[in-house]
Amino acid sequence: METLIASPEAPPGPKAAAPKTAGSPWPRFLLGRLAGFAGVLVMLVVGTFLIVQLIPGDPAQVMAGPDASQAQVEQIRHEQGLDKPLLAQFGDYATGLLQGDLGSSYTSGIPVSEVIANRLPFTAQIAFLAVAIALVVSIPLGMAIAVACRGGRRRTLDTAFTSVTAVLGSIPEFVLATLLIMFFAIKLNMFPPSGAATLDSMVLPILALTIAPICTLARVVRRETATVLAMDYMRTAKGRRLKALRLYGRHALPNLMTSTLTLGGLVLTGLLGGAVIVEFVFQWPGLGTGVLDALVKRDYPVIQGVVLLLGILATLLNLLVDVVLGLLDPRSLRGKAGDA
Amino acid sequence: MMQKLRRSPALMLGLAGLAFFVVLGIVAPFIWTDRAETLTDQTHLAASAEHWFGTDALGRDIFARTMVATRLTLLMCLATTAIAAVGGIGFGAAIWVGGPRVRALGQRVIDVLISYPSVIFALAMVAILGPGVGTSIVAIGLATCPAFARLTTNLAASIAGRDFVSTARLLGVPPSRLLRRHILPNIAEPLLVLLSVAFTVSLKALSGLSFLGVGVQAPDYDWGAVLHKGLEGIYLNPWPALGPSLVIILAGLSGGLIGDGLAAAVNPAAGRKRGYRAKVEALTSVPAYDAHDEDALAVADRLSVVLPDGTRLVDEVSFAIKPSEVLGLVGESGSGKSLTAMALAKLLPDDLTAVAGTLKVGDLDLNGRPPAGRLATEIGIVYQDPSASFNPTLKLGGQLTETLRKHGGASRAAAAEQAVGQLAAARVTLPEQRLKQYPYELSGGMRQRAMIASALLTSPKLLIADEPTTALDVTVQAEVLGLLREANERDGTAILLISHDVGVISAICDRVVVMYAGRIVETLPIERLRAGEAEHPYTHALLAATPTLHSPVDEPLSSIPGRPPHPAGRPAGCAFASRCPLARQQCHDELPVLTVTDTGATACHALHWDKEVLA
Amino acid sequence: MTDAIQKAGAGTTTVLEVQDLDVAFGKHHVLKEVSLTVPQGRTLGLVGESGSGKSTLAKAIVGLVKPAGGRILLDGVDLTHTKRTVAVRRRVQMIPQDPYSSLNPRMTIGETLAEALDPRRASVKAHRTEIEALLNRVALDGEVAARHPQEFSGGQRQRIAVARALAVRPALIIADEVTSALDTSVQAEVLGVLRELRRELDLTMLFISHDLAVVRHVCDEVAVLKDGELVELAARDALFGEPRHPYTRLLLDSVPDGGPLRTAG
Repeated sequence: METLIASPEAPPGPKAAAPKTAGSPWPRFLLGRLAGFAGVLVMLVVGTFLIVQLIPGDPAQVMAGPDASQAQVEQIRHEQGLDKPLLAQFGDYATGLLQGDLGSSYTSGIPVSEVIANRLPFTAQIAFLAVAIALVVSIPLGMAIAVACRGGRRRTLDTAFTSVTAVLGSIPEFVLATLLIMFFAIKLNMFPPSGAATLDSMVLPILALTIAPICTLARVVRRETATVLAMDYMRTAKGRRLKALRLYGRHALPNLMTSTLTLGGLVLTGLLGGAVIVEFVFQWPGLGTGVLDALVKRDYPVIQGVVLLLGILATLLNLLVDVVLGLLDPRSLRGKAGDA
Repeated sequence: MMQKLRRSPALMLGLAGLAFFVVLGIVAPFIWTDRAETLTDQTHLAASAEHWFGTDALGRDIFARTMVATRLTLLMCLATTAIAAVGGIGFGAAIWVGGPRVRALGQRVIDVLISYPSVIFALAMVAILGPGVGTSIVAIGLATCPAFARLTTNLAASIAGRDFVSTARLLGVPPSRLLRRHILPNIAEPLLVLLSVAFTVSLKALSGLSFLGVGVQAPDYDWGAVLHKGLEGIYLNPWPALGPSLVIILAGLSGGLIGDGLAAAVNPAAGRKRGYRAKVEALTSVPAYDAHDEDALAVADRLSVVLPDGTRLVDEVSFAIKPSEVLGLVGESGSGKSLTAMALAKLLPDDLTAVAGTLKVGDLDLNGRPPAGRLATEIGIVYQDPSASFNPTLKLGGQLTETLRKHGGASRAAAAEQAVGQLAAARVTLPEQRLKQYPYELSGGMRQRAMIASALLTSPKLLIADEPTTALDVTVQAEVLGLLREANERDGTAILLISHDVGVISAICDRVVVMYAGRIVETLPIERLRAGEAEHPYTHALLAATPTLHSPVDEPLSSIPGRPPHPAGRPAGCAFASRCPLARQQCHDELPVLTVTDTGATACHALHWDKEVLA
Repeated sequence: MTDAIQKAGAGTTTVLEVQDLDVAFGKHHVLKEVSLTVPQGRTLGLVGESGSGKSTLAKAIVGLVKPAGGRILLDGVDLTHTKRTVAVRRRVQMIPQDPYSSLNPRMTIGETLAEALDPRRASVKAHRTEIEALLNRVALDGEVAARHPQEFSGGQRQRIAVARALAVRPALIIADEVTSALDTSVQAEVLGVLRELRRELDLTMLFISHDLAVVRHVCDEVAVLKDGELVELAARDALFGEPRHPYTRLLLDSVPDGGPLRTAG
């Protein structure tokens, strides 16, 4: 799985000696990133707008469903503004978005923004917890294994770690969720199989959502730690005869975080997709079940709204990763600021 | 290229699993379609010998349905992977060919696309096209494209930057051949790994869509769809969900194992079998001549550096460093000079073991477990590559003063003050500001001065400098060598200077140890080296092969024929014998021992031949 | 046809002429009005420290970098702004610095040399005798043609790279730090091969190195670059005997040359 997350390094182009600018690189970096964010936002808005436009045949007919009468189809066409020219439709859509108006669900009539406001907290809760848990578990785990097995020590532990993470990491979250429900909810009756009422109802969804990413991330961390430990500066640090905690915590950790986050950022955004699936299994009233529901009912405004929002969340998560990277290793600021 | 892929158990197991599923996909529909699709009145049956996974709401056998679904599932994965690979590699290649601006923009677009969760992208596609087999394939295929595109551009960039590609261009190799013979064969293996990973990922994603009910629609069914149905009755009957779950896990695991196995096989560094640390072996020979030098500062007696398999990279070297002496250690690559120094610094790589009769610096016994604080403060080390030897994520101040603060008991402010003084002494410009800078903000020369300042901060008894000027320009090299000599003359710090460059050694050393193939062949005072009066044939040959600013230019430099022996295949006799112009049979059979001469010591049989003749 | 020009007499015809060459990356000028000539059969050494622009000059001559100003002439033909044909590109060959990245690990030595002889078809069979002759020229056995680069040491690889450059019979060979990755004894071996070849084949060469002692052993004339500017260009003995530019003197004084350190600090 780690292979999919190929290193995102830019190719070594003919670089002129970087002019040594005094002062903080942050303003330039943030401006560049914000510009990039704006670009992605435009892409997302155009993309979600196109969802309706790209429906093969007559969008109004598809939205109305196969049993609708011609009058109903025409009514939907008018309501959704599908009878206007394309640019005018986009104009309406974009200005609506700027005013926070995402349209209304045409099955329930509730504004999409309200639908999202009701469901977002549930998804945010589960996604945030999952990201936090995945990082908190996988980084120490991967580091501990790498340190314990450095230079060919403890081969059995190494093999066990590799095998267990390979098996657990290859289980899709929906399969894991199903198995968890069967075992912990139905057989042992330890946790509720669905719903979002209590704290213990979160245990199984979080487990289902995080186990595979933890395995993938822990393997990435283990590999990156091994790379960092082989670096010259780690030998320099060893030469200062520091205590293990300082050696690995102060000298190795920031360096392996940079590479881990560059590679692992994708695993984290992937969690958002996993959340959709896990919500479905556990009947969790979040954005995922919302969008699935809307898909079945062909409730396009809701689909557009949720897809747009999840896209923004993924982009924000990426931005956050880049900022953390910049804090850890200021060199990364200069490299990325220019080409945004 | 396939013959190079090592067959690991993981790879074999994965391939066997995949083969099993492929055979199943081919034959299952012929055997089980009847049971899988005939409606009966035996609905919602529990698992039994008759119906392994039970039956569904329409009385169809779920085991049979799972088996039959194999074909559609695999075909969908295949199609998805094909779309992802063709589209992704095509896109990646296109933006690579498109020139620097297209490339920069293309890479940004890939970065954005790759970070968008594929499930959500697929849901949007379903919203547009409506659910079905085709939609799932297109949606997941497109969602996996960016991964291939990114890998392709990265690999193409790394290969196109290699010299053999630019040379081939100069030779006039046509682009089609360049791609076919130079680029593709060198990037095929990582792409193959990605292909196997993409297959696994698409299995997961396609099943996921069907599981959500927005993928494959009835009457078609894949594993995800069978599981979707099984979930409905999970309270009454777990098998309709458990059965397909297990099959998906097994298939995913096979794919994962193939990916891991291929990745390990492609990467020569991974999976190399290495034991950890050699067993310490008993010393055989008698203590060496200057191991008992009473007033020596540092002593290495019969020091060996051993690989886990027992190979001696350094083979019983003995030398002593006197107080305030600058001792040079010279040799070519593979001579073991750096390992010798790192053994004395107690900083060998994890898988190497140092064995010695005596190994001490001052009264620190390095054979035992010397206290960390004394080790850190009494031995200072300057490393080869100043750009790699500082931690890039920490400011210089913290790094320079770390030893003082952690072992010298100095406060942050006091340590910083001392550091500023030492930086100034090493002629680092703007010393106060440097402490707040990151290493990358300094030039290579400045970094190496800072490294020397850092090493001298604790007033070490011994400074070990391992090729300290190799990465530097010649004018900076002269300045850095000057600094080392100055530290020696000012504070009386003894220095062990390791270099491959006879000129560098001659510039500041008092005495020199010459190493060849893991052994010391000669030690001699620097005046004799400068005068070219070496005793050992190897030292002679090395001096003759070194170009200088005053050696005669009308005749070619003499080169040494042959190559040094590999440490594992070091001969019983003299390691240099096969290349030595003086060698006799004795040299091949008997190991010459280091014998004290008038001025130093030499390990050469030829030395005794003259004496025998004289006697 | 070019053979006729080459035989016209060593030292009289100019093979390479660089006039007022300017190269800029963005606002940063890497080369500033550099002018030099290399006559037929001679070797010009190009020395300078990192960032002096010596590698950029090599890249500009082979056409990998576009000049911002000035001209590059090969055998009197201006190459600066024309699109180079395959035939023109083959007239200048480069021996790269790193022997570990200059040979394609997926091709045998024979295939690599065959490609140099005939880049379109690259048949090893058709060129068997020439390949053997080339390998013999650089003191390697003809049988090594069937092997892959991984089986060779750094010095041997560098000799193969030399053979590949020779295969093209180029007007000019650019040797870019060809010995800086090698051990002293191996460096002597490669320098020896180059020396032989120069004598036997009347090669014209631009020899780039940071090592003044090596340059002194190989070159007829020496050019010193500093920060993109040519500070001194002189015959070997003149430059090493009586350096005129202070920077040249500093460089020479900095070479640790078998004696005690001369410049302190």
